[in-house]
Amino acid sequence: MSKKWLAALPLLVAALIFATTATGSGSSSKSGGTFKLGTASGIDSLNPYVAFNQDAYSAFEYIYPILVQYDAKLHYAPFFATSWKASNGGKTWTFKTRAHAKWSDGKPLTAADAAWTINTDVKYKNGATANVAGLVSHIKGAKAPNATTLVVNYDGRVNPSWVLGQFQQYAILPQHIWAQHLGKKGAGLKTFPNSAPIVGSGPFNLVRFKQNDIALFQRNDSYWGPKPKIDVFGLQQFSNDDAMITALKAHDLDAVESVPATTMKTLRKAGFVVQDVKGLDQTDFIINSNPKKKKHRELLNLKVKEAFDHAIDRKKIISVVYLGAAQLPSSIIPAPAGAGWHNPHLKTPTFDIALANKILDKLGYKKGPGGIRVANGKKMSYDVIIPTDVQSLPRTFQIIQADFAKIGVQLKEDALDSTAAFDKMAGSNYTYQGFDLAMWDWTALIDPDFMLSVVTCAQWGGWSDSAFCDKHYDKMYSQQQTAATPAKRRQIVWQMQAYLYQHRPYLWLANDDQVSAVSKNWAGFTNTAQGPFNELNISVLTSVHQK
Amino acid sequence: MSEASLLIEAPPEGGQNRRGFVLHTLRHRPAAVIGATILVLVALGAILAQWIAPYPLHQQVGPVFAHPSWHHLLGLDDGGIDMVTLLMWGARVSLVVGFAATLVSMAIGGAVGVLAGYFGGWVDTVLMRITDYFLVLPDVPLMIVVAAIWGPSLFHIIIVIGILLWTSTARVIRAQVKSVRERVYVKRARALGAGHTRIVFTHVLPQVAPLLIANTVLTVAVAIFDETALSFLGLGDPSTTSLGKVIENAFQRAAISAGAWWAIVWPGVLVTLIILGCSLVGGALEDALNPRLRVAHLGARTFRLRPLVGRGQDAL
Repeated sequence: MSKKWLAALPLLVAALIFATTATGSGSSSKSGGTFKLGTASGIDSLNPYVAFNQDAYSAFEYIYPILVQYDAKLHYAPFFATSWKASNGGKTWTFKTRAHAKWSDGKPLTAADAAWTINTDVKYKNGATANVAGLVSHIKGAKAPNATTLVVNYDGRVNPSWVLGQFQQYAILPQHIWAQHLGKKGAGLKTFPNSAPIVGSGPFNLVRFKQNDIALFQRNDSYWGPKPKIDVFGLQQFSNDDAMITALKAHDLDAVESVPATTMKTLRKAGFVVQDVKGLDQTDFIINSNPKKKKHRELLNLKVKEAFDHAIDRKKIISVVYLGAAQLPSSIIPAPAGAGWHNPHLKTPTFDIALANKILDKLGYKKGPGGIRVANGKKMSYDVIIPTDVQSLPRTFQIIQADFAKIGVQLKEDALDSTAAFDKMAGSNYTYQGFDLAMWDWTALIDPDFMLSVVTCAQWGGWSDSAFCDKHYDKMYSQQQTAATPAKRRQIVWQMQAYLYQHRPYLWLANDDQVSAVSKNWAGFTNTAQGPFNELNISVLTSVHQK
Repeated sequence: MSEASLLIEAPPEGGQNRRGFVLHTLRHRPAAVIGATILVLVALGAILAQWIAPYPLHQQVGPVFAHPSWHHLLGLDDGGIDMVTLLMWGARVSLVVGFAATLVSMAIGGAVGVLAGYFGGWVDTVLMRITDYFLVLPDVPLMIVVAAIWGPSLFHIIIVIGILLWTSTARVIRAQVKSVRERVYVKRARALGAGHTRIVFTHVLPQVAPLLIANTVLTVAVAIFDETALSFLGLGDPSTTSLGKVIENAFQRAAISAGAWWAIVWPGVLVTLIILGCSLVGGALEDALNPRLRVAHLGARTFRLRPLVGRGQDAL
């Protein structure tokens, strides 16, 4: 299933604005203590071949070695790899890795672990390791000629920013643990629970984990990089926002990962530091763009999609649903993704009911009984599938529904839990024949590859929820992976966004902010576009400390 | 306990007739009058919502979670919609669901009770074992499961509640039918050649109908409560505004943490009032109409001693 918010996951990335990290806090800082963070999402699995949620990938960032990370400006920076270079016309990549690193059980951590993980994932990418297959695409194999050298061979020239973008999300696993769990054709990799305490090598060791409840991370004193100032980090999961905010106010929590917009004001008043930064999540209005769609084929008409786009009052959505804590969206790659991937030439469609009516009138879709237009002999009346676990959607839908009534289009809410919603959209055998319209959200990563992939033909039955399938677009998608230079890749990425803007598999509704809150007793805690607990780098939890 | 609470209840003026007894009971039970007043007021507000609600439903009339003010006496909800308007429309949906679901459960409960009581024997055994089965099922979890499987819609909610609330009705009716069946006039009718259908419809049903009515009012309260609970859990029809849905909307947007208590408390108070009204009226009706409660020395609800005198043909 594809939940969009999970998009953030397998590949994760995202982030942004990072306040400068560890440096500044001088003598006043106290070390030690337990830092407790509340989340409404949580870690769904500790197995990278199964995990879906962003919190899981954020946990991997802190407990497993990863070759590269983002710096504060979202440029690639050394992490487990200290340097890298491409050779052989961009087909071979060589990484130098940290010397004398150790796993938490004392065994040596070397480039051989990285090579083994990559080779295993390539070997089973059509089966057990499908969850990470996107990250190792184009790779033929990897070798570790010595303990600190990793050589990765690609099947052709690959774009440098793309390569680093994939490895930034790629957790290296301890060979001596995971090699025992291959099972038949690697199937054991997916069933290995990887339960706490986990053998890892990051700033923290995960010592205790209870699903849907709590994860406890203890400082790893044998870590090869900058060590955290806190002793323990606890991530506690809440099933409702009120309980989480109440726990924060009672100081049972020190911080909350994402704050509901309605409580920002009261938290500020209660003395908490509320950090509101531009985020990577965008809610969307999905138009089934399956070229072979049987019913309501008028929805494939780009003019109809354009009229719909002009009937959405995004400013009202942002003020009512997000109380202003959201930005106007314009593209599948949200502006906060940084690094210049967002195409700035695309403008948010205007809210113009008269224009929308004019476009539909011109198409000859006359209003029938009840003021509902008739297209190709059928009423323009559609069910809109809405997953119940995206809390902002019901209100957003009501606003859109009222405005669509003004253009003679009837919308009916079909609320389903996210699994049922995706099943209904994809339909039997992933034919995407069973739905017309839907709403959901996507959380983008910093590197644009993942977001651009979800509308390719290859993602039918995978991440696709719009059934968009276009040969020209797919060609551009593979070109951006193999473009010679980052500038060339950016040019293609911008073209792809413009193409989607015109073909509208999604009408973007709002780009909501990432809002976190932290108690005044702590310093060094910064929010990012991907939240404070993120997989961009390890700066937030290594710099947070008691005042 | 004071002596006053053990007053001997005077027999109703007008003696034998049932209507007189009902009026008498209501007169001596101010609680029932209060309950009836509440229900009438709520029903009026709900029925007249489209004419007397201060603002159109779904229309944003101010900031999200605005405080109560002169223009919006009960404040605004998480969509900037007037709470008074929401409560009127919400009560309408809640009452419709409450009564419709009750109708379903009365039909089932009444039929099962009459069949089991009248025919007895294996019919009774089978129906009562089925009733027992439904009786021990925990209602709310089962409703959640069924509502989740069928999908959210008002019709589904009505059916789900209806098919789970009929058990106590079936048992009460069965007991009464069993007694009616043995009465002399029923035996006479049978001797004269009346068929089962005729006996059930002309002799038995009229005798148990008052019981059924009293039970209905009490069941409405439970049905409204269940509907509110299901809507609050997100299993209600998303396109209708019921009181549970209003509470759920506010809860989803963290109304309590945001300090907007009015978005949750007022619909909660209204549900409580409706249920209270139903219970007060239903209790009084049951007291007045259930012959078993009437012949007891101690009225089940009033705790007043009553004289053991016959009160017409339906007394034992």
